[in-house]
Amino acid sequence: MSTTTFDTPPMASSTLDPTSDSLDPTLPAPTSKAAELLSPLSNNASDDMMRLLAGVLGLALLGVPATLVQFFERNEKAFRPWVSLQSVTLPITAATTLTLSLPGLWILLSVFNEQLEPRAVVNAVARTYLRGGLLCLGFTPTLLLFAASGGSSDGVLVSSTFTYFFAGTIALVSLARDLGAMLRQRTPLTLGILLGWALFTMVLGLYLFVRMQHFILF
Amino acid sequence: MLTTSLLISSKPQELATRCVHGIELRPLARATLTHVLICTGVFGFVLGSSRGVSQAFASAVKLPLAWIITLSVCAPAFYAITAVFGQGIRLRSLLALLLSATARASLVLFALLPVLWFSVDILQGSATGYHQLTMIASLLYGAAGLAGLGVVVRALQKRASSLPILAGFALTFCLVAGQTAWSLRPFVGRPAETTTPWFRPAESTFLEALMLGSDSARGIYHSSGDYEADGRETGGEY
Repeated sequence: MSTTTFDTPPMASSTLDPTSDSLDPTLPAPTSKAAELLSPLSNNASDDMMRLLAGVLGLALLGVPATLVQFFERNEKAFRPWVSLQSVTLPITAATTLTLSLPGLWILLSVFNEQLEPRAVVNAVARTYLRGGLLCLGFTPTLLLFAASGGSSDGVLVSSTFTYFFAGTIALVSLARDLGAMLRQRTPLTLGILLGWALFTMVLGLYLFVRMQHFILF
Repeated sequence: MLTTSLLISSKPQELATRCVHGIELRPLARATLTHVLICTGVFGFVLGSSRGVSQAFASAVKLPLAWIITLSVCAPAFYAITAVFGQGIRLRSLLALLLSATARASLVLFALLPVLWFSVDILQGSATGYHQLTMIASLLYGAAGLAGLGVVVRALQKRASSLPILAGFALTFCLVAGQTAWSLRPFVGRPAETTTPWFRPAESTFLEALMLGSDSARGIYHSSGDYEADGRETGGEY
């Protein structure tokens, strides 16, 4: 596993010493596990698998607050038992969005003599999934708080949708940036193709989200 | 205790560096948590004292609780935001940082306690006292929040990605703190009520209440849930 290593900071004493001279703001601070996984430096299959699993978990949990509030509202019109499938649709929607659009970008770029390294693309996609899933995972407690303290099912559903697209947009922009960095000759044409692909993927993501949610919710 | 208070209040850079580098986090967390509980507890006691001893004790318990719940709910979001925007602060460092920022904000609240007490004393019995008191308490909270934000700002690296992180922090914190405080209300208690309950039922989100309150302030009253300037329920549309 090729991860970066970090210096261990001077460790805890039992009391807080306000005059401690061990503080040096110029030293590099230790980095979180999530930041390590988001870095392209750790590039192996097991790390990619961990990224994908964390991404799936985050996206799946994002559907939980809306499902719970519908369940506890006991609103027969709004709640249907199979609404719990909603949790599965978000990871599937996200995966389908990239699976459908990425091969096209690969082919188009190769037409213009830009061949992306498959391993590096897989790594970038795994990091994208993790980035989106991590944001969804981070905001799920906030949505749960609203769901548990008076938020309506519509309100929570809209908030979950907003979180999904917010996380998705940030992840997609980062993926486009990573793919752009992989290009050997960054001509205006190849950069234009990349930008067009990113915009198309965004529209495709929106379309697939509506289709999948329509299939599940209505 | 005094030296720790001085460290929290006057050395935000040192505090932030300690947290980010993970130096002596356990004693720091203990000290900051103690500050949060004591300072906000006393602030809550004075705030609730406008409605009697029972409400004073209720607010003294609920106000620190509101902080702790807010931090617990915000922490995962903050962790994700910092990691995604390239400033991966470790979870334990982040928790210590949030506690330190909250402790600094709590100390500022404690420092502003005489202002609150003075307001409670002169506004008691006034027709619009309830609304004015909640407004003053909100302003004091805003000022304390800025002091807390100072610690977080110093913990972030000086680069462009810090801006969306700060915006994300502020937005998430406002949403979560608002909803938590709304769920744990009342802290002051409506003057029209003879007895004040410890908790009110979960009826809406604070964003809905904010919109309703904004309408009420402009003289637009809705059919239920609105209160006139003296705290009486309107019970109809005006």
